[in-house]
Amino acid sequence: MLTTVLWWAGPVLEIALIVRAVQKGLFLRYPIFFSYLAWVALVDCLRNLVYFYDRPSYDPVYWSTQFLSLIIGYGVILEILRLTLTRYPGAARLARFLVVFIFAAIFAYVGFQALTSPYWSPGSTHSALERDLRGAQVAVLAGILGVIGYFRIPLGKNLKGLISGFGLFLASSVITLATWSYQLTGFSKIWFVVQPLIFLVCLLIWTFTMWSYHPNPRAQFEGELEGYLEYAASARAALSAVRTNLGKVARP
Amino acid sequence: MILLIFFSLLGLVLLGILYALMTRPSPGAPEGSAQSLFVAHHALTRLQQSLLAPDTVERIFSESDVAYVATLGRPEIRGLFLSERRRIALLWVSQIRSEIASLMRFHRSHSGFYANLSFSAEFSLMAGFWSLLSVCTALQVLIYLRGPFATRSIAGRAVQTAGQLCELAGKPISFLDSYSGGLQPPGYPKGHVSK
Repeated sequence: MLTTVLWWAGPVLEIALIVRAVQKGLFLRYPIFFSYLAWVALVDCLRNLVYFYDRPSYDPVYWSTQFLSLIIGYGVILEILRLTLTRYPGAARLARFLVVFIFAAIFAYVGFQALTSPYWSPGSTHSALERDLRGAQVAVLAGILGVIGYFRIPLGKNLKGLISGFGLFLASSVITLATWSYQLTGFSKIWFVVQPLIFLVCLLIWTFTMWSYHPNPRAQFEGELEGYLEYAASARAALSAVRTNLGKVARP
Repeated sequence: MILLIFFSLLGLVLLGILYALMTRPSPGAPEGSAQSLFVAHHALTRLQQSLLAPDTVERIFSESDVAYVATLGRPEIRGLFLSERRRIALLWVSQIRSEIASLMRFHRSHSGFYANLSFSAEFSLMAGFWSLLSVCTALQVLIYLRGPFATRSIAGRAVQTAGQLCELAGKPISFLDSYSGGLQPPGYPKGHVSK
């Protein structure tokens, strides 16, 4: 009974959010996120119907639709990057560099495994492949959030909600998929309750934070600054000298 | 099992970053605003004109005070004096540390605007800030363990270096001045100079 309620509560909230987003113009402000949500709502309804009326077809339907969700999920991460860092060209540059670096590291690792391990295959099971792809999403999102935190970039209510909901979903997914891949005893029963429950929490976060439009706080300083290298060099020299002299004070 | 641990850790790291990001205190003033520039400018001015001023450093580390107290021949007064002076010296270092941290915060919220941000320069600057903060911590530990009068040379060197520190602390002000020329905190009458 609980599982049924959880499984149908998701699509209801998703549809409510999408209708509200269209009414309030949020769909145009966060197009990829709400497209993702629309896709998830459609897929959830389809999966639920298949589960209750044609259970043997559930697994093929689940995995065939799940990979498109994964691809749109990467789009959501790029939208977070665009929305948070557009006004910060330096921070955006660092974030783009990090994203490229993380993907390069993943591809290098996968390539190395494929060349050196005779038993390697691209995801021995669907859940292992999804776990790997979600893991890459987690690493990329963590890198972007690290940049946002480092440069103290302010976030509005909408973006805070979008990021925290999506981040919670990704983190919980990668942990549950990692556990699922090992087929731990009794986990499959928990999985059927935990996964929709966590996604319901994410939907509630989005409902509370994205019910109406809240702009991102604008930095009062806009536009590019010149002379970073000169500034950095003088600040570095000053810091180095202050450090040296404070060190002298400390030494007997 | 290694993959299970790796992916679980990855998920937990993301949750940790999310928690830190969502619970961080909101900045008092918008980044790049006159108020945030004023706060950074004020931190530099305090370092230069107050905390690292030769008089301040000389007074905190002055051995003439401890010599005078010693002539009284009252161990309890000497003990009280030493503990009070240690407290003041620790407070002095913690204030320097707090101003440096304030400058570091300003730098982080400011450098993201630079289109030509250099990763190596940024890394080097951050390393500089962190090592300076570490020196402050080491100084706090030394003062706590050995007291401000542990050696005669400390006071002399402190006075000697204070002038250099003032001069050096002025360097970053020049870059702030180019943005904040004549900055006043909101609500201050024109012409008022805050110390």
